[in-house]
Amino acid sequence: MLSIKNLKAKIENKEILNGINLEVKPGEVHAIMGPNGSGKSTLASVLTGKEGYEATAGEVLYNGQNLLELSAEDRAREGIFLAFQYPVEIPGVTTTNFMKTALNEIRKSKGQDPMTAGEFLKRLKDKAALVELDPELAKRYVNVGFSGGEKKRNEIFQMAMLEPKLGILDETDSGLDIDALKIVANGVNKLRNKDNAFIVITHYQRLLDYIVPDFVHVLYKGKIVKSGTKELALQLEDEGYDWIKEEVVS
Amino acid sequence: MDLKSKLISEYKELEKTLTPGIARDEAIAAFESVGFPAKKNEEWRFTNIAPITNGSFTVRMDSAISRKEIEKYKEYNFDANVIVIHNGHYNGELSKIHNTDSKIIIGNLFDAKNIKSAAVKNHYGKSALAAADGFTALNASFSEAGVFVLVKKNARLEKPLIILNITDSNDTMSNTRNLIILENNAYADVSEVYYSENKNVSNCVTEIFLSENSELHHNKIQNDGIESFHVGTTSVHQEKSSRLYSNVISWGGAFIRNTLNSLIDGEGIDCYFRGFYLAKENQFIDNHTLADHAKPASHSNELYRGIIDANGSTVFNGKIMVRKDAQKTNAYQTNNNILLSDDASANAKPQLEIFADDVKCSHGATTGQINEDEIFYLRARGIGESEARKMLLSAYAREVIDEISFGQMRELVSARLEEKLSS
Repeated sequence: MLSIKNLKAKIENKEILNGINLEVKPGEVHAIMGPNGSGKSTLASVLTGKEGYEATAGEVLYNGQNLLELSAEDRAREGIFLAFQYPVEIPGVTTTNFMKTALNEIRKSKGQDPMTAGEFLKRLKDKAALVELDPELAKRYVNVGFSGGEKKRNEIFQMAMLEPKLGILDETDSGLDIDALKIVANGVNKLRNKDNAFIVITHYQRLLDYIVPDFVHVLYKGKIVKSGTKELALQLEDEGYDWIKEEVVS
Repeated sequence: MDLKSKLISEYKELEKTLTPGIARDEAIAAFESVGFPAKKNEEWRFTNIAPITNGSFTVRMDSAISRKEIEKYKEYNFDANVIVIHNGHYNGELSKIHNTDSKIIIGNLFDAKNIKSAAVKNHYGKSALAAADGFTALNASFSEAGVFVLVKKNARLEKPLIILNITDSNDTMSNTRNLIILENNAYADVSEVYYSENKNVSNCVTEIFLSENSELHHNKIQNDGIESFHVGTTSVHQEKSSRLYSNVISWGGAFIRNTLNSLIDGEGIDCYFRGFYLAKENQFIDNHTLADHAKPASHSNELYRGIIDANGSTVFNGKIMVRKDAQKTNAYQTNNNILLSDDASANAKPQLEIFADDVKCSHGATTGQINEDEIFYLRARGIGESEARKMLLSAYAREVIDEISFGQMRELVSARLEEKLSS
């Protein structure tokens, strides 16, 4: 599904990614861990097409096409979804209207007719239940006045609404208490199937107790320096990142 | 001959034919003395009126408009009382007054029975003072058409009133004058809607008097063409526990200057000023407001938002005055501007003058671009970039437009907004 080869990227002339290699197949969950400043969020931004992030070398193939050539909206229409680390507040736009517009723009790009009001409302209700989000929140302006936990849940709700092929969760666990974390993880688990894949970016192992990854990668100084299975995450939890840093140096 | 002299000599020629009963001679004398506002006048410092004063405008104009032409205006067909003013003439034949309540008067202010009534005598010219401003003085000299609304004690105007102002004459200056009086516990919803084509000046004055516990929803919607000039003053006097909801939507015309004042002259008053303006190529839009707190324990709240594109330019000057006796005042003001082009300019000037010590007042002004993080958030969900921009601008404007309580009017204004953001 996703094939990243020797990807290098910079922001404002500062090299952040130094040759990333990663293969993600349908049905897989990959966790990307690493200390602060290792490039985790930059990878998410480069994959989703945020302006200002410039890939300087390497390639990213997504279902066979060159992902880096696509606009942010085209990537979303092709099924890539980013759950933001810092969800943005949009005063004046309700979540309902936001999701209706997004779904219909995605459908339009595929030559499909807009959803009927009935279909849309049913989906909204079902998916809100999936992440235990009060459907009343969808009538409010996007993320405005939401608590940190509500914002993160709203991200997973949006992911459920849009049913992406590749979901990228950027530190979705940060700022969540344990109950909210379980709800969010539970929502993601319900969305998992053999045709989609997830990249879970996190600083802590805690989330991975609930969203169990197939692979764990450690990102350090813009490179994946170690890959393994979920046991690697446990080891990081116990021992911290220092031993990884020492390994890289030696 | 310059415009000032031309207008003074027109007054001398027309004097005998103008409706008597109001202080016209005093008004033209005031105009002769103060003239058009000069650049050094603080209230007009950022407002270049040379395009008006360099023109040659006459107050003489004819009116001819058919029912078929008027029916093209969507507002004319709303479920409302509609008064048509065409080229500065009150058109009683095309106006539609549904009101049958004897406690409510709606009609031409300059009809003999109205202009001579005690209500008009006691209020006309008492809020918008001719001596204070050249344009107001001109209006008081020449005005021959306008709407008189009197809602007596405890009465409620059931259907909204629309004053549909249509101007299509060339090189003219119309001087319409409205007077709205709400007695104790009265209610009304009045919209002034403007459509001007061709090169002309609309110099409009509306005086509003709100007695105890009355409530007025007042909309001013400016859809003028690209050659038209509009100078308007809305001057309000609010008494105890009255409520004013003012919405000013400006997106037409070459030049707009709106002056909106409310004298908050009692306790427990609510005064809401809301405005949205959209200035595009060669447009100038200026809003000057004053919330004048003269008595304690009242509340004013102002939100004006603008979008400025191409070489459009705008002025927002919002003043909150809290006089010595106006303790426990709550007064808030916000002005936001979004610039869509490098040539666009927005001039924001909030002013607070506070002479009481126990008050809550705040103001904030921002000028910037559309938030790129918001754009990216929408794009990351599959919404195309231009659609995302339109959505955000629309949401920004609708926080003002959604405050219009007259449903059909709000929907029309919202639909126009979408058209304007798409073009």
